[in-house]
Amino acid sequence: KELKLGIITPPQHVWTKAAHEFAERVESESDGDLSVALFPAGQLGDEPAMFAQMQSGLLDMGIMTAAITSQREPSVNGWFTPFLFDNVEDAIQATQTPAAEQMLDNLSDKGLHAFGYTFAGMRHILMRDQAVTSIDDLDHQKIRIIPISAMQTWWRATGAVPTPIQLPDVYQGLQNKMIDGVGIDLDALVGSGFDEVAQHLTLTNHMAFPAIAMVSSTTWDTLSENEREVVNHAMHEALNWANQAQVDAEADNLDYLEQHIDVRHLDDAKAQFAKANTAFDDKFSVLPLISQFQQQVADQHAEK
Amino acid sequence: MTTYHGNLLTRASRTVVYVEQWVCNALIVAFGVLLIINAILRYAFNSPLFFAEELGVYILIWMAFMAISIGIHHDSHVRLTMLTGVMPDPLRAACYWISELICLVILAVLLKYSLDWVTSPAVTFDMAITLGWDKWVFYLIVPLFSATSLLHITARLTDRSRHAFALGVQED
Amino acid sequence: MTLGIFILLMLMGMPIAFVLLATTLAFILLDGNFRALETLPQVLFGSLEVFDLLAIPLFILLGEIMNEGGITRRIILAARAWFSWLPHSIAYVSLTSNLMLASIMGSATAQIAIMSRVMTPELEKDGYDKGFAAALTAGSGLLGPIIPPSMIFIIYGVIGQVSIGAMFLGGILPGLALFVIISGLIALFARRAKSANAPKQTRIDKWQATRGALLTLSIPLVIVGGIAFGIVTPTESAAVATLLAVLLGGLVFRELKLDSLPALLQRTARNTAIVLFLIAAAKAFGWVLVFNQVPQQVAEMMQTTTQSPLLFMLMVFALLIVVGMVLDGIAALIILVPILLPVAQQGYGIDPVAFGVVTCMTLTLGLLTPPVGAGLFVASAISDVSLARITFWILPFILAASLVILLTIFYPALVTAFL
Ligand code: NA
Ligand code: NA
Repeated sequence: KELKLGIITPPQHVWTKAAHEFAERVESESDGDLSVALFPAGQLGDEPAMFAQMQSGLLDMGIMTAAITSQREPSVNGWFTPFLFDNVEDAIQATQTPAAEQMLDNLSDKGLHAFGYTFAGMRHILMRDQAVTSIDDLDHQKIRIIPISAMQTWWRATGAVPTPIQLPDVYQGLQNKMIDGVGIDLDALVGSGFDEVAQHLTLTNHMAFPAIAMVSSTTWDTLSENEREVVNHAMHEALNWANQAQVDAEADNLDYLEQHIDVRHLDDAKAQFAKANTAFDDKFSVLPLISQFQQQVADQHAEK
Repeated sequence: MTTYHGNLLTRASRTVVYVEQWVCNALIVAFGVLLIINAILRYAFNSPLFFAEELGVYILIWMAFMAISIGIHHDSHVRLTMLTGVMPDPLRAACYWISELICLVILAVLLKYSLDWVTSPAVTFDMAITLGWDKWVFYLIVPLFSATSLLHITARLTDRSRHAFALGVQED
Repeated sequence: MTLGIFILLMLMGMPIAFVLLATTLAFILLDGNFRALETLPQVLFGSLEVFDLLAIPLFILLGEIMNEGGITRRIILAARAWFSWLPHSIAYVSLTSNLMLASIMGSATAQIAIMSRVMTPELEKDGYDKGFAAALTAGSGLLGPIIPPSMIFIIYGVIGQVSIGAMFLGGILPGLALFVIISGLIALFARRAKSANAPKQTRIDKWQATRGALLTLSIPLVIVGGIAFGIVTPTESAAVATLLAVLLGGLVFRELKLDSLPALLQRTARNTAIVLFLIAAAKAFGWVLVFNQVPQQVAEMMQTTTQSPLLFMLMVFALLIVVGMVLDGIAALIILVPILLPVAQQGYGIDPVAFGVVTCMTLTLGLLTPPVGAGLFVASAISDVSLARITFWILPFILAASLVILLTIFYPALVTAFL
């Protein structure tokens, strides 16, 4: 039996590598009974298209960004709560909270069975001409963002001009001052060589960027008990592998960047961005599951 | 097919095309103006319309599907005429009829599945993010396009005077 | 099986976009996976949900406005004024006008149509063979899509997810190389012109002619400059250029009339529809191909044949020449890029911009290759030269363009120099 797995990220991305990891494990653990065909880089369409294909049972599996998943399950927006996590480890730990589990369970009435989370790096701010040392430095600056509701809301409230342009155009955009900066994770920053054209990185850790591994319920129902166990196990192994890889990558990337460009921390970042954080809260934290999630994550922090 | 029937269909097809062309022209002007205003706002006043790109794309999609339907009415879509050009008339007519009937089947399939799609529960989650609108409204153009194109081809097939076998030059 | 259906329907003269849709359906039916039908409408809609595609109707509209607004005429007038010191300059005037026009227009067919009407009679008057005159006009039209802006580059960028700005910059040097080589051809053939018949060059006020052209050339300045310096996206540049053309044609030259607007919009809609229908249908076609893992199989097959990127590019060049003989360039591009680009990029590590420039140039050359060549048809019809005669005269130009393409294959730096 062949499982088709779609994913939006390009071949070299950690998530795509995790998908490869999953494919290999499934094939070896099922003794070749199950195989996985990968469709990276959005080959089967954008994420809404992949969702539709999974819901109709045409596409079997996907590793979908929380961004697009949040359109189907609004509580997933809780993950974009600004300054909720200090680093990727924090975010990984938050997947253990009951609220995070509940978000996954809520996908079942959308015809999807979710396995768990994996993460891209934390989001920071890279500027072309001058570093961000306070929120005022962002005033009227054109910042490239991923056009999702949570980011749009937060960035607009910072006073910046959020500009959604395609990732392949960002390099030239920075080089030519079409945009002044980007809100970005270190993996994408180093991977696309943006440090060549913009050299002021402010580490804000302002948002996490998770993805959720899931399978179409239609497909899930056709699998035998044994097959489900194999898939489930392989996926959890792959996600754990990816999370560890991401933690390592974060350290490596930071190491590299500190040697090459101006890198600074913004220590009072949360307070600096207070008005943007309020804009986010007003729009998203009103959802009970999101506020529960925020509370549970805060409790986790308090325990440490 | 009776002449009367053909005429009725032809009239319907012409009326629809007239409306489509009018809407199309308006949409071209609309997105041209939208993009120009946005470029000016962005570079002169540093405050672009945050929804301009998304709205522009949906205007384009509506314009495109209507224009494709108009193109089907005028039979102006690109064909490979290398072989049909040297065929004897009866064979060429056969090719024309068979290919147009297949087109009808394709459009009928598209009509059915696009209606299913637009009314399916899955699309209720699709939002145009910067506009904040439900996307199914924009999706309606696909069934609409399928229906008008079905009408245009049927009208053309039932009107003997409009079987244009020799086709014009291709565009690049 | 499906390949057979594809070829059969194509030869039967079914509209190419419908051929692609029919083949898609055939694929789904033979595969028995009927749920794929449910995703078809979404794939069609999603294929056009791309911001960069907005540039296409805008560039088509821009071309229409330029024609109505008397802009082409001013370019030719200026070129004539500048070259009036040179005996038998008219062939160079034609080539130079084509170069300037190419920096505004994005389509070779449209450019050939305009220039054939204006330049072929002038060339003939100066004693050039009519066949050569028509072929020169058609051959120079190749500059249209290579010198930015370019519709085919935009479409390649959208399908291949490659930066359109980079494509535009990448076309400049190969375009200029073609300009130089055609100049050489003219020098070679100009000796055949019968100087006795040549009329005296009328004196044209150089400054006045130049002023008209300078105003006009603000349009490419906006397009290329805007993109090169990253001030605007290709779509925005098209919007601003359209505004400029409306202002120039309507207010400065006063040749663009309001009552020509409906017909102008109608032509824009029709030509846009032809391209976008192909893109949408090809996207659906590409989707079933990917779903059934056809590109992966092609890639594996290719890689067992050769490991050399250079050899791979030469094979692609040969394939595209053959395809371009019978198939419309944009249709061919839309069908083949989703299959070939991943192979080129991942299998052979070829730069996607260099691959794009070579692919687009080769398929554009298809406009001039018999038996099916829109550029040949247009030039032959408008210049009133038989297809056989123009085909004979076009050969040197095909060789010239092939030479430039091969140069680009062997020295991709021609493309990547500005990036
Ligand atoms: Na051009
Ligand atoms: Na050809």
